[in-house]
Amino acid sequence: MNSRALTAADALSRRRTTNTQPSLARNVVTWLRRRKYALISATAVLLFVLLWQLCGSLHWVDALLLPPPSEILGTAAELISNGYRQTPLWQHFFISVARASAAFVVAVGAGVPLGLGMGLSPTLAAALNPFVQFLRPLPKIALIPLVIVWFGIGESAKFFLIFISTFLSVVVGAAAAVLGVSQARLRAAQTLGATHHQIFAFVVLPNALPELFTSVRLSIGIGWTSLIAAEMVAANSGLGWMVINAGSYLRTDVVLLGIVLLGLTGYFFDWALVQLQRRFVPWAGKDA
Amino acid sequence: MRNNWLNTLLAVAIAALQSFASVAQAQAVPSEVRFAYAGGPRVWILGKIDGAFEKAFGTKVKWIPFASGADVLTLFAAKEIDIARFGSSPAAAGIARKLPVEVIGAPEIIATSERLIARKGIATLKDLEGKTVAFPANSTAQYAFEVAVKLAKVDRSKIKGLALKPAEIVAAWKRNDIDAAYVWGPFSQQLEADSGKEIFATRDLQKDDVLVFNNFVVRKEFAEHHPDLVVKFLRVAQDKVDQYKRDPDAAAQLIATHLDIPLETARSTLSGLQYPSLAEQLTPAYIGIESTKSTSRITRAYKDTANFLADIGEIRKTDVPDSYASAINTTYLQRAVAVK
Amino acid sequence: MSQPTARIALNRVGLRFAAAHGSGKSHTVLQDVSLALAEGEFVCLLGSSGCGKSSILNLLAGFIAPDHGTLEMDGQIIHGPGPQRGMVFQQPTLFPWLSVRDNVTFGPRMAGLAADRYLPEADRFLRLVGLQDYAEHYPWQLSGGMRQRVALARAWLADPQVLLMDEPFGALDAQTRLSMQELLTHIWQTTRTTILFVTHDVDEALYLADRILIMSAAPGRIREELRLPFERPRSLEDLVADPGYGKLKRRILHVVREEARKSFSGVAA
Repeated sequence: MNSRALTAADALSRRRTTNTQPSLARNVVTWLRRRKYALISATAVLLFVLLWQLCGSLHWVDALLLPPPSEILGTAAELISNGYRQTPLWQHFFISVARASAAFVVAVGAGVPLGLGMGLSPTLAAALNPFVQFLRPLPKIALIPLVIVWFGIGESAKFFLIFISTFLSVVVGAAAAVLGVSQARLRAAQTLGATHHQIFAFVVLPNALPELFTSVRLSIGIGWTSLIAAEMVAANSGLGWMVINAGSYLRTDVVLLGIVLLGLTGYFFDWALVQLQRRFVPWAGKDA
Repeated sequence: MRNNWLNTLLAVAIAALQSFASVAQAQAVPSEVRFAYAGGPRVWILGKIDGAFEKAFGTKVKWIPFASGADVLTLFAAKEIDIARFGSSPAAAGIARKLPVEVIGAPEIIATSERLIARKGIATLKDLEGKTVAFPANSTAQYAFEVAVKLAKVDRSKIKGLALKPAEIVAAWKRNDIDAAYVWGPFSQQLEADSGKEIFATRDLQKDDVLVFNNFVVRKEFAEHHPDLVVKFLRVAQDKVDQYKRDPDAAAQLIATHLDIPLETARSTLSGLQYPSLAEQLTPAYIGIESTKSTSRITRAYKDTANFLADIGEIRKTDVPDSYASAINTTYLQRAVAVK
Repeated sequence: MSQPTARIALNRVGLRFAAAHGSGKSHTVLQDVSLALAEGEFVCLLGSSGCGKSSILNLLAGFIAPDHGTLEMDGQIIHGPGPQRGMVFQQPTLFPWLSVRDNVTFGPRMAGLAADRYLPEADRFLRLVGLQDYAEHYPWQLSGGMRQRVALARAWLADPQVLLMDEPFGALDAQTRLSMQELLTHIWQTTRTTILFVTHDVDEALYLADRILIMSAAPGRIREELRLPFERPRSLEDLVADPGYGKLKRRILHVVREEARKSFSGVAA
């Protein structure tokens, strides 16, 4: 063993056996270790943004095709102070969120009862299934020309596009949630004296809640992606409109900013629903 | 002996390389040239009908349709087209965004081919206050509308402007969702057929020295590799204008049949444009030549358009170039005029 | 031995299941089965898998109808499930959205009883099963044995006249099973509910039952009936030492293994 190795080994053992590490450092390490996966995600995103910025700064990619983050931040600052097309940025954001929320509320409010009904009544399911299963996978952009002709260019056209994509998903999910109740639970309720209506209200419905929440989450995600299709119909405000309009002037910086904002908002919607789910359906995914 | 043999080998090699290089420099004709066209009645379509461009180039031409000028910018950015004929205002926006293109001609001055069609009860621009007006996004029609409103000192904030695709404009008109629209044929004629009336045409802006026009724009990379083709292009385009001027009705008939649109629509759109010849375009009243272009009317018109777009927030003020002269290349026009 | 008015009875019941995926042949699960339980009796139904013992419970519960014969309770034909015939399944089948107390009080709440009528009883049962400290907990917070205890309390609070139990301790480990058996007899001795208990565990049957019915291999029939002489209350240790225990167990094992061999060798109807 040469002297260098000896010193290294000494240093290692010294580090291992010493207790004089400041507790702050140890706390930081523990805090970091617990959030290992969150840190990995954050690092991946940071590396990506760094690479993106380099593409722009070192001119690997034409700034017209891919504006670097620095330019997008500049655009963001400009839009926050001056607005986009004389409308403040927060207003574009608010209008898109309002449009989508209104459509979501109605879609869930109408879709859940209808889906529950389809789950309980095979007749109703047989009558409505052909339409639901045909319309659901249809790309809503294909409906735009029809929607303009039927609803015109006002808010109702945009509402309809977001509504229809959310509604169909909710209906299918709610029906599945009802059908998924286990025979054992139904029988247990029967032997405890529950009537038919009581079984529906006190067993089928609560049993369906976790799956209902999940399908509402998924449906709202799908509905949010229809926002762009909706705002292609003669809008003059909204995040989706901002992206489309800026695209026609090759303002790729505004387009990318809009895309980031749209993505973050969709992410937030989903997060909010997960919190709601945790609050109202704490038993989801757990054994009983 | 060995030296001699080596020298000869070297000389042959160098000669071969030189001829290789010159062959490469001599423009090999591309497998196809891609035009972007608006799908409506325009004079250069005559060259599509009789294949004149293909004959002149010696290669195939692919005609790629677009709905409005804004789409051309995307096609250029994606390098999907080589030459386009589209409006001056989207071109101004694209050049401001540093698209690698250059203007090679201003073949059509818009006079009555784009018009403001309105419902009964709306007779002047002032009557538009409180109403809804539609126009295609980032188009010469939009530009003409905004400038007309500004010059007439009408309160723009009282007018609801709506960007719609031309086909959507017709649908919205039929549903009574809009009160007026600034658009080109055949759509404007469809509105007139449905109780619409023209209350303004782009020609009315010329008295205020506002030029709205269509330009030929080429991708710089294409022009660098095939300058001869660009010259031939301008030459054939002028030939088609001459063909039209000789017999406007016959030309309109050819185009109407080819596009499957009513003859009247073709006729009124074609006659709604002014066609400066190649020589006229080289005067300062239009583009000018290389030495006069920086002060010509067209160059100034680009700058006015860009400033206007910046004012309404569509392009960044910092993107507006000091002068559009650097984006205009008159050498092809000059060479095309020389060819007869 | 049957008494003139049995609490609950099968009379010459036959049951067929249609064959899966249209292979044409259906198979007979039960053939000419008759059994009767007197009021307050604890009867164990022993048999190997596939002999139809769960089907007997499902028939008595009213979940399925027989192809031949009748099912009666207190002289009335059984038409469907109801609170007079409670059931405890092999899996606890608790309602995960309800607390332990709400699970246990499910029956009385569905019957519309006033809270002051059932809450004290519910607490008594929770204490009986040893879960009084877990009343506000949720099923996923409990172990398997604890959940089954809740299921037991839940079934009993609903005050059924007959309790049908389908191998309720089969999923538990040996130690928990023994405690649950003691708990079960303890409760039963206070309520004297009529119980039909299905199991494949011979020791369990010998500890719990007044009478043991042994089922044959499919098609199911009651092959043998044994009345247990052991007095109550029984202790496991004393029971095992009883000389009669060994003889009975030997007899039962013999029958059960004979039937098991039949079903293994594929002798089916």
